[in-house]
Amino acid sequence: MTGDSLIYKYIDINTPKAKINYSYSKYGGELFLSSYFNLRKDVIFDERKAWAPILNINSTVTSELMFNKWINDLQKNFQFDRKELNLLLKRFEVTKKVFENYDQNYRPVDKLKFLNLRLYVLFSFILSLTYKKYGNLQYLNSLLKVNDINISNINKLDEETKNILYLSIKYEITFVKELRDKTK
Amino acid sequence: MKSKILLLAGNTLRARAYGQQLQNLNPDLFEIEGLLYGFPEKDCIIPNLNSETKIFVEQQGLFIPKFDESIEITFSKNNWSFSKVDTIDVNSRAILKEIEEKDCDIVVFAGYGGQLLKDGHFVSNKRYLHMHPGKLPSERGSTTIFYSILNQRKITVTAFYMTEKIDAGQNIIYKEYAIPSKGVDVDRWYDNIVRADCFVSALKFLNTNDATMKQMADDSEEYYIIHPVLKHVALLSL
Repeated sequence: MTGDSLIYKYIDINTPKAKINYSYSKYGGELFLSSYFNLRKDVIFDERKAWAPILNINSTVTSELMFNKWINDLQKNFQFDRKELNLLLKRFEVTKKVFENYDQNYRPVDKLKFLNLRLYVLFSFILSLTYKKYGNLQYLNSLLKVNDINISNINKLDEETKNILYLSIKYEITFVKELRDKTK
Repeated sequence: MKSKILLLAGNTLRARAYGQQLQNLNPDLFEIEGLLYGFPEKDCIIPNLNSETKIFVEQQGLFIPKFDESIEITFSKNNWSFSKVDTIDVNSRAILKEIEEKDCDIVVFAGYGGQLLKDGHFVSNKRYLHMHPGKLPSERGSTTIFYSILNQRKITVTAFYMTEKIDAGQNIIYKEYAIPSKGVDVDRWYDNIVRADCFVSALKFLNTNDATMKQMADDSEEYYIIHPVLKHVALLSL
């Protein structure tokens, strides 16, 4: 990590058990944004190949199967009903957790099963695809938050999952740069 | 007939802004009372008014509150009565009981950040007025002022009657404000100033009209606390 990445303080190895607090965040000007970009770039510096994400279709985790389907639908430009994603996004924003199983109202079936880190990466990838497709800022907002969790835990991810995260972070950086250009 | 207003106030900048704006109402038309809570537990940190904020707000013709004036002083100066409840829990039985016993038509909520009013508040015939920085029903949720800047829309504040559902209820009025210029303190000054301005306009409106604006079913979007990166992109765009 470069020195000024220390200014970006939204990385916490205690996530997802602990929640990162984003309320009333202090203004740090250009220096803050530059520390954000440097931190993200440091993470993807390690990227060796531009792999396409490899999904585990044999997973036994219900949320992973659901995420696989969403990724497939979004990548192939199939019809995608955002109502379910929006409900999941709401749950994530409240809890800052992604659970292994949800009921039909997207409430967690078992509130203790939130430590599957691959789910956070898949969720991040879904958010990058949905922001790319629809451009709603809520998706980019949650993408930044879930990637804070993912980067906090990057050393615990396997190589295939890391690769999906690299793709998602690349998207995220592009989106933030595009938004800056658009609003300048 | 006088409208009876109860300000349900924490030791917050917003409560001070609302309290001071109430001085701009005709005392023959309004009767003001206060219910202050959580004061021993919470300090109110007074932010510096930087020159960019002062100049911009003055250009807009908006009222600049004196944040170093406590809500107790504002109430005492105006001979408005107030009582205090020694709890920070806005949904506590003590606060609900106090509100129930007050003879008021409208309760104005100016509590602590992140607090939500629960069902117990909405069982009586008292109406709860809230000012939301966003155009309801389309811009629901949190930190919407920054999303408005990013979406290059005007800043809108909606005055509405609250229900137990977040940012849903009957709209009273909404007012539009200019996007702030560079260096304006949005969180602590501009947000409170525009809400307080809309607040007093809503009370004046209600004094002569009924809340007639209906919430419409639409494709509303719910915003969540803005990530610091997006907040910086918004503020750096000014």
